[in-house]
Amino acid sequence: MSRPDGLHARTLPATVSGALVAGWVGGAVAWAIANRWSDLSPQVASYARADQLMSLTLSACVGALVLVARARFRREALVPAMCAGMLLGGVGALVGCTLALFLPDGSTGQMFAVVRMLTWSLMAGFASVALAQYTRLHRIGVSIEVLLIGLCGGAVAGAMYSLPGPGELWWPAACTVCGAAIGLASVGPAMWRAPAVALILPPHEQHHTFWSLHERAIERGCAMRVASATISCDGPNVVVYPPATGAVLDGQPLYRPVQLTQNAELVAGRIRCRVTVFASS
Amino acid sequence: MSRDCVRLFLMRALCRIGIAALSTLAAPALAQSPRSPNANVNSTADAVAQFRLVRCNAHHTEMCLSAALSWPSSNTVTETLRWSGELLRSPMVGPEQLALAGAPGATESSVIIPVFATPVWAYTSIGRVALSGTIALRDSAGAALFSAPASWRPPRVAWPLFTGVADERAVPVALREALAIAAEPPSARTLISLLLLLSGIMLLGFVPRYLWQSGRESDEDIARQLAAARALLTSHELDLLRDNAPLEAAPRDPDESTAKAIEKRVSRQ
Repeated sequence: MSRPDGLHARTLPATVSGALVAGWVGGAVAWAIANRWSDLSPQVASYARADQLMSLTLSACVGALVLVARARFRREALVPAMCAGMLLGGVGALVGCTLALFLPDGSTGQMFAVVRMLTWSLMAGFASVALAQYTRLHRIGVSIEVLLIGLCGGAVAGAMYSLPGPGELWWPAACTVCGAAIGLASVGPAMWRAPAVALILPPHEQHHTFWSLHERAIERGCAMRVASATISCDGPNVVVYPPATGAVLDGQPLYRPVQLTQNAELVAGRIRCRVTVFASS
Repeated sequence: MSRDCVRLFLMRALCRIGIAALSTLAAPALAQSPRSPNANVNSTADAVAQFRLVRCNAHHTEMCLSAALSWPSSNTVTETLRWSGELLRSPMVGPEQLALAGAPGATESSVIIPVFATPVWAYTSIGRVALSGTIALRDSAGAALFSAPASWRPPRVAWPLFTGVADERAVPVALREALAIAAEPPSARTLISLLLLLSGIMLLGFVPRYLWQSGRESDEDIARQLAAARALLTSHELDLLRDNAPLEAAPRDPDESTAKAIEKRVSRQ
């Protein structure tokens, strides 16, 4: 939707929905792993330890899958992203859960449900903040947004786990909702707070898949090369530098650097790229 | 790249220090936490009750609360142990069937309180709510020897895990019959796995097809546009473009100096 100043309203980048789905799948994987545990062991001798282990497993699975999906979308190395996701997500959730275990249980069932929501909330919030460190977009506004989304998503998951009815179904539902919330929180704000997002469009009448999607946020001081053209962000300005072999910007030949003020479609080589310029960042 | 490695190393070191500090602080508190499945119950007459989640036998997955009791040797308990509270909503297992004491003259025993052997309500709610009630121990004359509130709290994030398997000989005849009659509770895990798998496949197919942008122009259109653009460029413009295009670089850190800041610094000097 066009705005009076020529800029466009924020739209949801594909990476965000991709991270959300990756987080959902990570939650399901964590549930499948935890489903194998039936008895307390000498290493996990109490329910407090079981809570810590479950938090670690859930966030490590979610973190690994979310950062692998993000790395694939950016065409970066997958293995370091997976390791970092497991480490950051697992440790973040473990810290959050451990802090929450110091809260008293509450004397009534309602109080216990509230404490359970707080536990899930802290777990998801800390995991999201830890995972967001990997995006290297250290701005206080982004960090607060990450924390809030993580806390709210975790609270919703905790409330789901406390719902009356089939607990065996609510538990995996809570795991997947929590995973999706962590995925959204850890990747989303960095994408929609970036000055611009470049999406390589698929070939004629085709749809991207999770493997073929190529999208990248163009952060301040960064540049992205599309074929031989370059999209650069210097300060608040998003500039397209055409290649020597020629390029087309919104159907017009491009033969000198152009500052983008609204969404545009760039054709360079045999690659088409949609650049979404956000209104404020 | 080396900067990233250093950052990752520092982050890992900080995490390790944090975890070590937290576990050191948390260990004493968690060890004595009432959230432990072996929660002590306030007792009178020196009686002690501990509640744990156990299986009644190895072949079935009935979930039971096991209360281990001990009392002074001066008191003789025959067989009456009563539990009252939320757990007694089961139509098949009443207070009398919960009676389970050791041999006459014993000073300690255990009681098995089935939680989801038969009642569906308990099966669906065991993982999500705290159970509470009162446990009472009486002698053969009916005089109360021990009466105390008791509770069991499930874990907050994990699904409740068993602490062990109860000895089948400890189960009284009436209760054993009730458990034998009871069908094995149906597990919904297979169905849930299928549901999650289907949902995942639908999400992986739905999101790219309907939420992500698709290509509209054909490859021929793109080639035509590129040829037109190339024809408009002079050789001089081509050279300029080659010289002016910036190189792709790694994302800039907020701490790094920008080009403008360096220029200003140089101009001041």
